[in-house]
Amino acid sequence: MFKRSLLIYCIFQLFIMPCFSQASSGLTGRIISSTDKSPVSKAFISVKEWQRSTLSDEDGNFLLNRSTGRGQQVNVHVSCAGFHNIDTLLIMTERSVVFVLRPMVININEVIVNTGYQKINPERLTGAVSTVSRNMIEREVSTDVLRTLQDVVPGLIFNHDLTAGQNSISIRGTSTIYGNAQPLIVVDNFPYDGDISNINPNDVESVSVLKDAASASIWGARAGNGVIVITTKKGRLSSPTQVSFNSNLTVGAKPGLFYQPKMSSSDFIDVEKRLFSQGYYDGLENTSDQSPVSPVVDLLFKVRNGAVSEQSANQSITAMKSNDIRNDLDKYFYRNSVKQQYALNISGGGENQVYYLSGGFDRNIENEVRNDFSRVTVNASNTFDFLNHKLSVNTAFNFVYNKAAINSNINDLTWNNGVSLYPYASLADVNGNALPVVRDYALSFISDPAQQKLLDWNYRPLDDLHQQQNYSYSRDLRLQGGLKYNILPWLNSNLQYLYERSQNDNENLHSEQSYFTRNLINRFTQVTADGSLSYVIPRGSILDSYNSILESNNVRLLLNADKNWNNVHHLEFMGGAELKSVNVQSGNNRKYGYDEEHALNSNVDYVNLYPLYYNPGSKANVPNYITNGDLTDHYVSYFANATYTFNDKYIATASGRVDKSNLFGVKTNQKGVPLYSAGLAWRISKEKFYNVSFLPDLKLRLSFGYNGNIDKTLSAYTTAQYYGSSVSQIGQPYAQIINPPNPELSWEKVKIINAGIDFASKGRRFSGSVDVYQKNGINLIGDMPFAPSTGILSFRGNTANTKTTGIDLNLVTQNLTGQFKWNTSTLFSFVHDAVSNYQTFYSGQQYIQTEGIPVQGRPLYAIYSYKWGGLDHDSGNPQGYLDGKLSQDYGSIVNATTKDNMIYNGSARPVFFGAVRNNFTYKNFSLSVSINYKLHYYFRRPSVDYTTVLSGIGGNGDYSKRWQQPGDELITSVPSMPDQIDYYREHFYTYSSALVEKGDHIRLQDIQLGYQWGKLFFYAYADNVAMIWKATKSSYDPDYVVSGYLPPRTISLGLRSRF
Amino acid sequence: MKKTFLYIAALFLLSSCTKDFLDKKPDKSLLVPTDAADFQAILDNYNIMNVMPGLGTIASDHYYLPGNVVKSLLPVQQNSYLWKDDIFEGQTATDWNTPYKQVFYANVVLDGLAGKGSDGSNDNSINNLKGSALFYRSLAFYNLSQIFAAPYVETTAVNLPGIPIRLSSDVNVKVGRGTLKGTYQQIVGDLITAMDLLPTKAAFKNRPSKAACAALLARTYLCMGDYKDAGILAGKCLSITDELYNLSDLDPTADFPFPEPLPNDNKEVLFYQGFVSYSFFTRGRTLVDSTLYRSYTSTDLRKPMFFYEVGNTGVIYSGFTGIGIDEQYLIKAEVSVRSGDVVTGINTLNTLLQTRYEKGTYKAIVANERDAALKLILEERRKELVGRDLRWTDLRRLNNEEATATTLKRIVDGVTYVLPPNDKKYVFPIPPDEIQRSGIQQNPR
Repeated sequence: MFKRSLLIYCIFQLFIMPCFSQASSGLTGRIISSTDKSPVSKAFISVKEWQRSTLSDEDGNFLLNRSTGRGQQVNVHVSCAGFHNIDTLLIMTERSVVFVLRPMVININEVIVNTGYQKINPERLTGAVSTVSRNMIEREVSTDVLRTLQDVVPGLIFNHDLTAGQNSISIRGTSTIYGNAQPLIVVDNFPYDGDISNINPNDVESVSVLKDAASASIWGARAGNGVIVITTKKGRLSSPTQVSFNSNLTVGAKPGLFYQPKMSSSDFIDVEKRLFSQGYYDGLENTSDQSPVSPVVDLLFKVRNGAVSEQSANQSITAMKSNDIRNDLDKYFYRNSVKQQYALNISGGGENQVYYLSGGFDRNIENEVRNDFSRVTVNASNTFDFLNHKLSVNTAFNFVYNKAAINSNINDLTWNNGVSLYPYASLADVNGNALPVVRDYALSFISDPAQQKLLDWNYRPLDDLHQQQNYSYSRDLRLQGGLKYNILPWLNSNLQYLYERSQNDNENLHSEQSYFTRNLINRFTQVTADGSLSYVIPRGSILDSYNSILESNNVRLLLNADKNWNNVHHLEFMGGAELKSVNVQSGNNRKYGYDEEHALNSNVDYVNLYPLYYNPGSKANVPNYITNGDLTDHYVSYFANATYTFNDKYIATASGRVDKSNLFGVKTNQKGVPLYSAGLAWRISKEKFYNVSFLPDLKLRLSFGYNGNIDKTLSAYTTAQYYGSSVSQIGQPYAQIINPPNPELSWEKVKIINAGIDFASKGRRFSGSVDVYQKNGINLIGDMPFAPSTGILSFRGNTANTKTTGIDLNLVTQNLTGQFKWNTSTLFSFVHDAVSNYQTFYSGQQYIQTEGIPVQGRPLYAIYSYKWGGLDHDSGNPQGYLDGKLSQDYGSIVNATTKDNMIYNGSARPVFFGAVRNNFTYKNFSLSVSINYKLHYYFRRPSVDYTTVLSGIGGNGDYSKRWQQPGDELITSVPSMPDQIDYYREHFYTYSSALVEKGDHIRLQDIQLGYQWGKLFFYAYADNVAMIWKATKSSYDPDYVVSGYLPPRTISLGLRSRF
Repeated sequence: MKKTFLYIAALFLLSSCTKDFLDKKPDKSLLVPTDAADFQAILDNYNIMNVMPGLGTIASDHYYLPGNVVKSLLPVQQNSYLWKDDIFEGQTATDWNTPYKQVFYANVVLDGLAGKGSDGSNDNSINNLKGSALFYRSLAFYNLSQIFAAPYVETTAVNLPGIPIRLSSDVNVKVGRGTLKGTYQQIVGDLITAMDLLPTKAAFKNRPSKAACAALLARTYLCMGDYKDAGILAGKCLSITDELYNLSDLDPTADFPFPEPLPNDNKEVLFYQGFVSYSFFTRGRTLVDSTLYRSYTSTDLRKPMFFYEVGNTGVIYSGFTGIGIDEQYLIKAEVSVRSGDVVTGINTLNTLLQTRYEKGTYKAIVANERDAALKLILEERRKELVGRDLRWTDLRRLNNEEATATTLKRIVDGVTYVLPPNDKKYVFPIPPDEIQRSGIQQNPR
């Protein structure tokens, strides 16, 4: 991209060593590697003036025949995959040459950094950037490109906790409260608007993670959480056709369903019996709405009514006590996962053209029976140079198609309005035939002969599993085009355009055999006066569909300058403007009485209320699932960035950007948001006075600036959400006010100061970087509780500031070189964040039970609790403190707890984290082991909550450890079972410090074993290997406290080659 | 270099056309309310605007719960049912928040319409909207006063605190409690203004009308003890519409004997309202007071039509709540008797009651003496208006007179709870979050 031939010439002259020739015209020579002086075969050598090129042989030798005059100057280009290119001007003598190629090593400082706007030589960086090279991306076997960032970027962490989603990433802590907390993801220079899981890791060349203001502020108002820049693979000018492929197979273990301790069936049934004897279920016998009762309670009713003998009931109950639904789930609803991945790409380039073509196919058979995923990716990119390299045109085409089957009904195994199925449910008989379980209605009701005229009303989860037809399809297309014109040798202009279209379709066909459809039809079945049936919901299937189409258009105009004066002053400048428009249209639709064979559906009456069959005393509308959405985001941005280098020693950078968008309403926007940064770097090791011989490479960096963040949900005006007339009983549209007016609203800003050192020892035996930073979140959008008499409970506006300080350290050491190589990468991060300037009036109870309400001086995500006073000797009641004395008056304890006297246990996110990766190589074998750690944080361990136990819906397995007799308080902290539900007692225990655990742990994350056999690289990879150490004595994995099960261990076998 | 200038020129071109580009609405379903249709849509949000508080009903004597059901209620409902000192236990209160949300919505409409269709103009849609907003706001203030302010007594109303009267949609405006007198003056004044702006009848029952406005004003005057004005307003309402169903014309055995109030099918309903969602009101668990249930005679059609029979008593029928025509008959009857016109009073009662019985079975009530007539009317009031959230207000106002004062009693798990007349627990505490954030005065408890 930049004309720096003179500079490169200077650098690479060092690597051209003269030696004796065998007297021939043309150019002969040898290509060797700089590290071990071994020959490099299949390197590409071309001489521009002669229009000739060749490849080196097995011994690294090459010959380019051409009669030539002594003293002629020629431009030589040498390139080979895995090595840095050499472009040099050579004066022909009678000698042949040896080109020494520098291999691209796994070192973040060796790779070109891409900010999405510019490619920057790392030597000129003043900010904090981590780059992940292809080698690191290839090391892991994954369908998902973001996954490959785990444990390789200092300061970047995956959050697996309750409030975070699956791919939730924070870079250097969180500096927003309610805004989008995810980093901006950029793919090939433009923000990626589709689903990031569409990117095939096999197409990725490198990933740059921009962490501070100097590197990220060019992304302005969207850079507040850091920026992840993904660059896909491209061809290279004048390089031979190269084909590479990668194929692997991953097998994952079945999930361990017993991870979360649950109350045993036996305990569960004993509680049901006890509740029954207390009359708890009395109101539920033959209710007007046919409320369901569990099979045990149903039996107990029958015994009481004399319909069943006590003895036979006891026999059935004893049998049920030995059931555990998780055994059936394990057997019929889960399986081993199998993931296959194939990727093939072809790249190359001639004098004026480069190309890259790739295809990928992934097929994942998921752990849940009947869930699978397949993805096809196709990429093609071309660049053509015209007018003697003055004009270049590039085009790129990316297409991703994926199909997911989401047929598992494992998350819908509920009864009685969404309660998890009773643990003694049996889902299949000994022959594997589906068995019915209780769901929405009393067994006595649905088995009553009077209901025989209806559709079968039994719920058989296992049958439903095999009848589901729920598929989602996505098609994602990115078309990119660019024109680059070199106006002057040091000045070019670049116009880029990207069109992205991402279409998602989900079709969920509930066949007439499915419980969903049978139930809905039955509910609305009307019995006419003569006893015949009429169907409000027509017979046939029900088809639910969801469609969304995202279209985005991006235009960017850039001006780039790169000028060098006398090798002393060097200026790089980039400036430009861009427009971005994203539109998402979405809709839900439902078709009743759907006939899938002929694609016909029937009309239904959504307007009138109909009595429900099972409870003629209540009426309802036919559920209507028709919704539409139309969202549009527009952005206009102007930006500039300049880097000035003096004497190759002193570097100054400056960057600025103004963003405007349609999100906040024009009033706020007219101000725009100017965000800027500045940075300095000093390559101290280049100074004459520098004479630290063991550290020949040392650079100091300092940067300062602002990034921004956007909360799309807010507006400066009173805004209301419209609801269509179809959901109103009066058939009129209605509106809900979602924002009171907020004329003061402004954008969130993050101020970042970063200081860093990059260093490398002689021969790079050890190298790395250390960064120290401070981030100040300013004008963060937060909730301010308001007096309810204002009509709103809280007001969302610019209310808080945060202050984050941290350290990122990255160290690569080559412990052993030679035949047995051993190197170690160590990542260490420290993040401490605290909310400043946030005054709120929540009650102590709210702070404790709602994670994420900011407290002045505390981390944004923190664990608070009630002080624990142990269990009472006589009653097993939990004890807290009221006015400094032990107390069992839970209501008073809770209400007397305030922000100031509640216990602050610590951060809910790790304060120290990082990873250590050891790579061993011996001959053709390689072994890489990655260990990660998260330290100094806390989590709340789930335990038994008698609110659910005494409601007959079970609870945590701690129930069996509960206090049962005096003395137990010495060995357990699980309270005794109370006679009645006491909300405050349960709340107190759940949020007491007895249940706060340290989250610190060290995990053996993954192992890769490789064997290079000629061109072929065989590898085996194991992921989620084992927990090495954890501070908590509980069975919980601190990363996955609320998950139903831990990520299963996986083992992959694969083959990769490049030729 | 020429080309460079061309590019720079193109950049400026790009920036000049961006105004429209940035004016684009981010979400089509979002609106910044500006015109009549937007404001109508805000007021038509009946899930907010037509919801009324329920704690008064829970604390009064129409319903009772078996002990195990009491325990299953969430703390706020449980405490209200048992007249505990602390009702909210630190929690926020739907009964306070919902009416104030209505006030906020009404104020957004009133502020948005300020300057449009000035009073006296012929712009009916604007006038209707203004009248509607005033009505909703007054209704919210009225409902709040019944729970969170002391019963209205003319002599003490100047000295007692009212409820915060918010008249602006600006959430930063601070408002204190003012006086009880001021609260009622605002309600009455706004309703009188609204009366002139509202249409005689509304297109849908969730929207206010002149008749509904008169009815609410009559209700307000009655609870203020202003019987004269209550009578005038009830008469005004009945002059607009006085149609009652003959219950025998409906099907008492039907699962839903009464036509739905929404959109517009129940002629006895003047204005539709529903309770906030408390599990107390979930049919099937809350029982009707058995004495009340037994007081309906066998030919009284209200018994099968209002209730489901369970065991020896009825189960709550949570059908229509809100403002009905029958209430106006009862107001008219009561104030007539109170003013000494026993004949008009009893005749009015008979007009209502004869529509409530099986055909030909109703025997007209005869009463000549004031106190006896009043007692009868109040008994019938209780029977007719069960489940309308009027009982709490009635208990509070009738406690002012010794003859009609009531002591409430509940026995749950062997513990007896008593609420004597005029107890300070007839005024609920202001929810703690309101006290914390706005610093207004708490009620003695």
